[in-house]
Amino acid sequence: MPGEKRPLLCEAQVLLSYVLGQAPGSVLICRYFRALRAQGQDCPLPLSLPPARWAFLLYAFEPVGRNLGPRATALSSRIRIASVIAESSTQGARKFYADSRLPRSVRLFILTLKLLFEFLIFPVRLALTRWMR
Amino acid sequence: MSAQADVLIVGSGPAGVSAAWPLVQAGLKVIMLDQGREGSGPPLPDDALMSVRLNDEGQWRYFIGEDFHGLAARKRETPKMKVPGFRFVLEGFEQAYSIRATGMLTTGSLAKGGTSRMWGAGAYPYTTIDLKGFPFGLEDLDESYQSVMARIGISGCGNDDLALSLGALYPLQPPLAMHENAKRLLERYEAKRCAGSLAGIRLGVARNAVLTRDLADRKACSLTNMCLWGCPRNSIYSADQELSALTRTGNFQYIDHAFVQDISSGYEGLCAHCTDICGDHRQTLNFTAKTIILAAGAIGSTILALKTLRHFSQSVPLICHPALALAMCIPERIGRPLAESNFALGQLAYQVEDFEQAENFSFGVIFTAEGLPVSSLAAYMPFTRPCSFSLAQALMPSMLIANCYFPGSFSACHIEVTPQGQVLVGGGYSSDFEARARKTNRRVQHFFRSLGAFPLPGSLQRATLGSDGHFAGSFPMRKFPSVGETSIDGEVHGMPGLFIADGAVLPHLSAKHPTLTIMANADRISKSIAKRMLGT
Repeated sequence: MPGEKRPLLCEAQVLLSYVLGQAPGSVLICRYFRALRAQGQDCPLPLSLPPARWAFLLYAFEPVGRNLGPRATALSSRIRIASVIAESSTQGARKFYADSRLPRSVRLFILTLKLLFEFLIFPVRLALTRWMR
Repeated sequence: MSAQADVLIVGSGPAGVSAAWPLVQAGLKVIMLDQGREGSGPPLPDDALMSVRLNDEGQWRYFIGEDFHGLAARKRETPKMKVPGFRFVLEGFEQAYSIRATGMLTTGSLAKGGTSRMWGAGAYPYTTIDLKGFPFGLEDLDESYQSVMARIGISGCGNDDLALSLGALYPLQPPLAMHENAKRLLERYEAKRCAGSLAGIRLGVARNAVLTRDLADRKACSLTNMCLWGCPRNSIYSADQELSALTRTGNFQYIDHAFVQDISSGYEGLCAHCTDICGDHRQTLNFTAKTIILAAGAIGSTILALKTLRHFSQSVPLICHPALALAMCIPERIGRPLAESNFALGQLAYQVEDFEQAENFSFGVIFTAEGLPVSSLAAYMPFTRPCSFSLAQALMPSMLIANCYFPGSFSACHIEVTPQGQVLVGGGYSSDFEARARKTNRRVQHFFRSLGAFPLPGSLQRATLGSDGHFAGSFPMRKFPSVGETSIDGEVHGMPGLFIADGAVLPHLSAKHPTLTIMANADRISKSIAKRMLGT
């Protein structure tokens, strides 16, 4: 049992860290694990070593444009699950909602930088999405 | 087990409850039969959404559910369908009636209170133009609108530009406090209207079956922004709230775990045969009465009526609302703080006139995005998830979501019961719908742009047919009914004593939300039944 559990817990750690931008609490990791079990998704994602060690590399690996519906890839649907679980926790809510207390100009500046980064990384994501299809 | 009553009502939704009141008030003994499913989740806190999000460690139980129901990745359904607290409302309906649906969703409920347990609370009365094709006029429905609206409490504005198309003289509670985005939109609209530069689209305050003043056991809305997840104050009307008041009258009995499988006629009148389809004991219960009113939702009532009439393998038309949804943004509001208090259901309503056929207008409701989870918005964005979260978070205070309903004449659906008891439902659109949807979408987008709300690229979505649960037209009321139709009073042709009081008897579905009209019509039908039974 622990042998089956560990890869899923590692996956939870990676995806929740990616979505939250910080290390997730152990409660969130367990909740992700239980959620996958409840959905009958027992198999861990075959994450390659680099993103499994450095969650930020998922910025390049996250598939382009297939988040919902039957065409969603396994990785994007797991990221979606991690997102919902992260948001429905005080840790995630502080990250996703309390940020709005920063001055508007600062928030918009940060957002502009993030969007700029998105445009830079987009060709890499597109290439990796096609390669992994 | 068997029991007798003057009238049996099948179903406890808005139509059933509205049908019960006039009968009970006339002194008739009424038994309401219902499966009566209830939810089992934790009770929602009466706290602001933001406070729950930031402080409540157990919030995942309300937002995802202990069974993780909220994680389902379904597209093109309403956000409420993913709310764990409402899972029980729609659960088991298709299995109970053995429904196989293609091309549409057959939204229905076995819950106590029916689909009103999770409705959007839009309450828009029909006017003369909406009643075109009905075998009676507004004057026959007016008194029922008055009594239903006074009973359930509708908040709204009686003197805006939409008032004429929503009935200006009905009793209304004061409107709910508006979100900044809705306020801006309405102010700009008023300015443009005074300049006479808007033609063909009218905007006004939404009318909701939501209290702004306490009414009986229900409390006024406290703007916690939790509307999507449920309402612990019962400010949002749902039919189950009225069952205890009905029971207190003394001549009303609510029987749950009684799913009506079949109706037969005999010497003593009509007999409803029920079983508990969700419980362990599958004991059959029989209830006899001279009159049975079907109010099990348009699909449930249609199935029961077709079975009772033994009309098997005959395809019956079913009308529903085609609908679109569009997200918009008011640029100067991007990145502003989220509102501290808000009402998350309809803020504004608009009507798009049809210059060729007046009754073919489209109708929509505008919501804010602030009650929605950020992750649900982020899922539609093409960026990486962390960036989509940041963008959704910045856009949320500036966003408005408008849905747009088209008249039921643009749908082409049907329902059929096989001799084996299987129910086949098929959905589709009329041949002219695509052109009409494109034209209306262009007009609506232009209208909102002119008011400073810009549609977000790629946000236009077509709702799955039937996902709103508005069904009608399968047993239409006619002045001179024939097979498969009902009389003006909702009596099924060929089965004396069997009445239908829900959406199934509406001959036409205007683009407005039909629930209030279904309730008023049930009240009208029931008053006529009471008169007939008491010989007055």
